[in-house]
Formats: sequence, C-alpha cells, structure tokens
Amino acid sequence: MTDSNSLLSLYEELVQNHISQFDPQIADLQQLVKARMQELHDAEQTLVETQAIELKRITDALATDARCLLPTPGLRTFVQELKQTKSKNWYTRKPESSIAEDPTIWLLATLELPIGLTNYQNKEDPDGYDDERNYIGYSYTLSLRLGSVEHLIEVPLKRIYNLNDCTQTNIKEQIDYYIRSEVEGLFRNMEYPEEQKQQLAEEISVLVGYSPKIFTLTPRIAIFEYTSTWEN
Amino acid sequence: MELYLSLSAYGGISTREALTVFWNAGIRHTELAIGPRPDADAAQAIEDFRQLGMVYRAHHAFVWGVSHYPFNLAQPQDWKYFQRLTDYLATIGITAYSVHGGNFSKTTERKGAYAIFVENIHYLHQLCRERGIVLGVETMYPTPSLSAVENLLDNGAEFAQFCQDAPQIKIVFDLAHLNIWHDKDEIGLNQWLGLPAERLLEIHISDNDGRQDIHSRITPHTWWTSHITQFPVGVPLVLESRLNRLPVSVVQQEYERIVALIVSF
Repeated sequence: MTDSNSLLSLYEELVQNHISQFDPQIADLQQLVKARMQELHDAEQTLVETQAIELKRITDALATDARCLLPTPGLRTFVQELKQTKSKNWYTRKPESSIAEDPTIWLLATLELPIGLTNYQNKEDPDGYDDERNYIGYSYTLSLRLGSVEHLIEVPLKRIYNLNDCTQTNIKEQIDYYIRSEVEGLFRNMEYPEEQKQQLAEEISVLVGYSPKIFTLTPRIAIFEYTSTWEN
Repeated sequence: MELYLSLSAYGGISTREALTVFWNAGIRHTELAIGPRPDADAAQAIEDFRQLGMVYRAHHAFVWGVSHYPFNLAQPQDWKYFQRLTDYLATIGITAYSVHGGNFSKTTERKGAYAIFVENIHYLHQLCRERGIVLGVETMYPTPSLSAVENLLDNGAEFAQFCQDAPQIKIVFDLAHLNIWHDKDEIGLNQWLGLPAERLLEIHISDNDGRQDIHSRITPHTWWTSHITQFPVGVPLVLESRLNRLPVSVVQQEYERIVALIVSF
C-alpha cells in the first residue's frame, strides 16, 4: 500500500506554495476594494440623501392626495397590464375591469375629496391559520383616507404552509378580493349615485394596488459584486 | 339560543390567553378549534376555564396540546390519534365534535376520496358514540381554481348524497361556506335550513366575499341574515368571524351584537 503521506505530500507542498504567493495579494485586493468602496460611499452620500429626501416628498404627496399618481407613466402601464390579466377564478361576481387605461380621465380625477395613502408597512404573521392548517403569512398594510374617513387595509401576499407548500395572491386578486371590499366600505355611507360609487371604488382600488410600487422605492446605492469563478 | 365563539376567532396567542379574553368578555360558550398557538399548557387552560364554568364543543383539528395535528379524512388515518382525541373529549365532558369532509388532489378521483371519507367517518362516529359524543360533518366550500386540491362536500348535490349515505351523522351548516357554493340558490338554501333541528349539530356563522372563506365580520348585508327566521330552533350557533388582537371590549361588543342580531328576528 502506498504511504498516504508520500501520496499527498507533493500536492500539499504546492498548495502551501500557492498560499504564500497569492493569499497576500488577495488580501491586498480586498483592502483596495474596501478602501475604494468607502471612497464611493463617501462620494455618493449627498446623492443618496437627496434621493431619500425626494422619496419623502413623494410619500408626503401620497399622504396629501394620492391622485398625484394619476398622470404618471408607471400607473398607466400598470393599468394596461392589469386589464390584460384575466380573473383566474371562474366564479366571480364582478365583470372584468372596465376602467379607462388613461388614469387622467378617471372619474376619480374629478372627485372633490382627497385620497390619502399613508403608513405603508410590510407584515409577517408567524401564527397565521386557515380552517385546517397553520402558516406564516406575509401581507402589507396601509391607511386609506377619503376626506375625513380613514381605513386600514391589509392585503395578504403569501402564505407559507411548509417548505414545499405556499400560496401567493396575484395583483388582480389583491385588488379584487381584498382592497376593493375595504374601499367599498368607505363609500357605503357617502352620498354618491351607486354607479359612481362602483366606478370610484374600482379606480381607487387600482390606485391602492399600485401604490406599493411607490412605497417600496428606496435610494439607489453603489454595490460592488464580484464572483471569483471562471470556466476552464 | 346558544352562541358559541370559536377559538379560531381569536388565534395567534396561547389557548389560555384566548380563553382569558373570552372569559373577560363575558363569553361562557366556546368551540375549541384551530387558531391558538399549540403549547403544553393548552389542555390545562381548557380544564381551568371548564372548572370556572366555560362550556365547550370541539371542531376538527382543534388545538389541545403541544403540537397541532392537521388531518384529512379523505385519506387513511392514524386511528390511535383519534382514540386519544375522543378519549380527551370524553374526559372533559365535551359531547359535540364536528369535522371537515377532507380534500383530495385535483389529479385524483373525487369518487375514491369520497369513499375513503365515508369509511373514515363511520369509524370516527363509532369512536365518538362509544364515548357519548355526537359527531357532525360540516358543509365545505369550493377551493380557488388555482388550488391543487378540492374539498369534499363543497356542493349541495354531494352533501345531499352524504346525508343519505350517513343518516346517523349530524350536519354542521357553515353558512359562510354555503355562500361560496357554485350551485347555491335561494330555494336550495331554504331546503337545507328547513331540515329538522335534530338532524343538525350546529350552525357556523361568519361572512365572506362569496369567493374565499375569509371569516369576515357579519354585517346587515351578510346573505344569511335575511334567513334568520328560518334557522331551526334550538340548534347552537358558532361565531367564526376573525377578531384577532382586538381588545376585550370589542370582542364583547361583537359577541353581544350577534346575539342581539339573532334574537331580534
């Protein structure tokens, strides 16, 4: 039998040789990257802070009146995509969306009451349960204010039952099942013709459903990514 | 009229904490159910409040120990568990226990799942009867189209068939589940509510949007409120609207509001 020491000794010597030649250079490189990234973070600080101030200005505007989003291209694209999304549940009482693709001509634009959106928060519920099983639930909440009436809306996003079993709600389900019923509740005691209430409820629901795309915006910061792999 | 509040209405906390909220809200009728966090104190908490005067019934995979045991009666069962469960129910004097019909993968046949369920339910009925417990089976609801499974007893025709196949088993009407039935119609619902009281174990009440069983609160617009006068006399009701994290005063108000709603008709 070959002596294992003599079998591995040459390889181990080569590895030691590699370590002594290249590890110090890798350590120097890491220090260089670290120092350069610190310089970049210092340089970007003003721009990052300005982004944060701008995002605060945007969320303040949503709190004052979220209809400021109506002319934005992002909302228009969102509405176009939403209208192409068919309801996956065949048992639905509501017809497919009939709102205009251009939000600037929505009835909502003419409403005299402001629509305030505030307090967006992501939630995790480790103790969720349905009729039969427990799950970890993920959702978001936000406050919707219509004139002087305010309502907390919770929108379920995902349920994890176990490693191999989770369910997610798509954006249409979020709007049609969870946001719409809360918005309709806000209108229940308001004196508008029923047809207008329905249209306004649909338009506000879409606006609320779109708003997480704005609330979850964060300042862009410089990130250095490098993967030390190569192909032979 | 007896109105029970389901522990599923106030989950996410320990059984003792939930029962304390119920007790402080003046509630003396509780249905044990899924909802509370399983813990080693659950059985003791149930017993402590029983000695204070809380009256219980139990539903499906209710929490009574350190772990939760979900089960699907459309599949073969570990009957040792059900022997322990029914022994426990008998020990604490519970005489009403209800279960779901089970579910099956959409890639398998409903007929086979139903046959297993009926066989299981007969065996469970035997275990219950030997211990002085009345068993009930609940009306279920169609799952969303994206779901990988379907519930048994999610439609009027199959439930009518079950009533014929197992006439000795009592029925639990979940009026919120009936709101999701695809074959729902006024005449059919009136026929169900017209069944003799002795055929029913209890009636579960909450609300939803007609599509998903979201256990929302009952409003004047809730579909079954216009049918209250047809409710069979003497059949206990179980309130299942979610009240999680709400203060004791709100739980009390909600419970009393539903009592007043029912007795006003």
